[in-house]
Parts: sequence; structure tokens; C-alpha cells
Amino acid sequence: MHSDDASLAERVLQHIAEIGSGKCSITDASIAAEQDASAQEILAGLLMLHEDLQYSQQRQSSLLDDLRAAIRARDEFLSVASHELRTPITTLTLQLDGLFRMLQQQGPQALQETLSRRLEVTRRQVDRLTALVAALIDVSRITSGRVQLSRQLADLVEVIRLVLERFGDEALRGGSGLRFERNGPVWGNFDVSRVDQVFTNLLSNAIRYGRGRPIVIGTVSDGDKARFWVEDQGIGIAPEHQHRIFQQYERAAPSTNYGGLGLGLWISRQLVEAMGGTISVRSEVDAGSVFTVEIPRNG
Amino acid sequence: MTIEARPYGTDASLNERDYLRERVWRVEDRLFMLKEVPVQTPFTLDVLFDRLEELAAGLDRFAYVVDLTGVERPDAKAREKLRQRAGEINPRLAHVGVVVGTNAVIRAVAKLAAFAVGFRSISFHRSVDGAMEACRRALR
Repeated sequence: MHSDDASLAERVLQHIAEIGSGKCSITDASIAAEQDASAQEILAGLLMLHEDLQYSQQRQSSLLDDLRAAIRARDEFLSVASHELRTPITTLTLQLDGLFRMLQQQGPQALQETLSRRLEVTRRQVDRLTALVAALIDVSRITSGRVQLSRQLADLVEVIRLVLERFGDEALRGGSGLRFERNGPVWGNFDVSRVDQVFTNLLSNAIRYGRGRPIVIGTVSDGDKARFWVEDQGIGIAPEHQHRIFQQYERAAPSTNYGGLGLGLWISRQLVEAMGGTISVRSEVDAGSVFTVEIPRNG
Repeated sequence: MTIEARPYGTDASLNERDYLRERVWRVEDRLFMLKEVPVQTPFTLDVLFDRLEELAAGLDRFAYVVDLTGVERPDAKAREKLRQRAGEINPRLAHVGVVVGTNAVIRAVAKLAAFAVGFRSISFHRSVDGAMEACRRALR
């Protein structure tokens, strides 16, 4: 073996040992200073091997961070979900216990008014439980790719109007006035129940986070697209949270102050995207938010 | 307009994308030329390989010359993209002629990518003419 070869082999082994311990003293300048082209190739190869290993470690570390964040989000979700499910169940249990006691103590005539009030509370809690379970079923359907759309010719304005009718009392209870801005019908082939679901989610968020201030709802036809939006003047969303509110189990508002599973916007985004549309938000802290949905009119 | 020695990314203008695409062209039937940019990035590699795949659409066998003269050593991210994109067209490649001039470092980059992808037929050249001839021989 030529003495230069032996010296190169020794240097290469030293560099390999270095790389094995996560370091590398080879630089572009030291490669350029080499006289021999083969030595340059070998050293460049070693430097790139080191860089590839470092890059791969960085990527693994970043994936691990993502995984940890996902596990944190899941654990928080499970905690919120169990709390959310327990609340209506507790209320239901109390109401049913109360009814049972009343039935034992009072005559049927005197019970009518009390029964009716208690049944109303019970019904609301059952509705809440139904909605929570429906959200969990939606998550399961979406994550397993089983969302099926059923399109029909419909007027978006009418779909929105029916939801607003349904929401009238709730909005009044929350103190918010609802104003609906539209220029005329917006016909298209829509999955009415999914549009209803998305709009319902946006409107209930606007009522929940809207601080009782007026809420503006709008619809417009824009070429082959239909657009609707919900604008509130509530707590708003900080810029650093805006990118994650459409993610699963994520929420911008603290779960201690505001209920919910942190799934509504994620489900909405998945449904809108399944319809070939987009959902976006513009928001400013303490000024409010505008959520806009754009969907194709012809599916 | 010329492509500068800087990393181009997804914020590149439409003109810049067009100029990047123009760096890939058909030389003759089944033979293509790809003039690499000074600073390879995952974005530029995607634009150039997309164009190459567009031009080679429908061909079950083709060859290309890639001119790496004046190219800086790509970083690990770009090298990963290079391995991915080259690996995707590898089964249809009759030959790759790599023009590296006298740059040993770039030759090492190309060799490492070739070994990682498992190119069946690759040669290294000082000039574009030599690389073209090697590709033509492989296509015969």
C-alpha cells in the first residue's frame, strides 16, 4: 500500500469514529485544501454522511415533538371529554332523582308544571349528550375516511335561514342579536345536512364566544362558488392560535371558561374540505372573528 | 432574467418558476437535458423533476444529462429530495450522464445519490458532449 493511501485510510477511519460520536471536523474549506481529487471525494462523502445523520436526527426529534404534542392534545381531549360528558349526566341524574321524589310526595295534578320544567331541563341535557356523542361519531367517521356526501339542489340562503330560526332562542338567551345579510338565493348542489352542521357549529361558537354582542351572518354567490360567513364581536383569537384552531382537539379559549370538546372546527374543516371547499378565519383579540366558508355550487 | 445563486423556495414568482422549468428540455427522442441551478433546494428539485417527468410522460425508457457545473454542494434536505425524485424515475432510466466538470465534491454528491437510488447506469463527465454521447449509446 502506498504511504499516502495508508495515511488517507487512517484519516478516514478517524473521521468515521468522529461521525459515530456525532461530530465532524471536515469542512468545505478543508476539502478544498486537499490536493488529491479522490481524497476530496471521500472527505466530501464523509461530511455529507455526517450531515445526513444530523438531519435525520433533527427530523426524528421534530417528529417526536409532534408525537408528544399529539399525545398531550389527546390526553387533554380525554380530560375535557370526560368532564363534558359527566356534566349533563350529573344534571340528568339530579333531575330524575328530583322527579322520582316528587312522584312519591305530591299528587299528579300539582306536579304538572314542575314536571314540565324539569323535563325541559332533562331534554336539553339529553340534546347536549346527543351532540357530544354525534361529534365523537363524526371524528370516527372522518378519521376512518367514511364521510359520505349526499348532495341535492338547494338554496343556501334557505338552509342558513332554517338554522337561524332554530337558534333564535339560544342567541337571545346569550344576548346576541342575529343579522342575516343576503342579496338573493344561492342555489347549488349542496349536502344540506353537512352545510347545516358546519354553519350550526360556526354560529354556536359565535354565540358562545361573542360576549352577547351582535352577530352578522352573510351569504353570497360568487361565480361557481357559494360563500357564507359568521362574524362576531367577541373575544377573538390571537394570531398564534389561529393556525391550530382547525386542528383536532385544539382550542384557543381555555376549557375552564368555555365548554366544548375542541372538535367542532376540526369537524367543520374536514366536512368543508370533503365538499371541495375551504374554511378560513380572520380575527383580532377583543375585536371578534369572521369565519368564512366557501364551497363549490356544483359539488 | 437569470437564475441567481440563491435558494429558491415556494415564494418564487411565476416568472422564476418558468425560468426554472426552462432549464429542462428535450434534446432528442428519449434524451433530455437538465441544467441544475446553482443552489439546489427541495423546491427547485421538484420544479425541475416535475418538468422532466412532464417531458418524459409516456416514455417507458429514457435518458438524461444533468449539468452540475457551477452547482454548490446541496444540503441534507435537498439531497434527500434528490434521492426521492431520482428514485421515482429510476425504473424508466436507461442512463444518466452527469456533468461535474472537475469538481470532486459535486462528483461525490452525484455518486452518493446514485448509490442511494441504485441507478443501474450512470457515468460522470467533464463536458456535456461526453455525457450526451454516453446517453445516446445507452439508448441504442
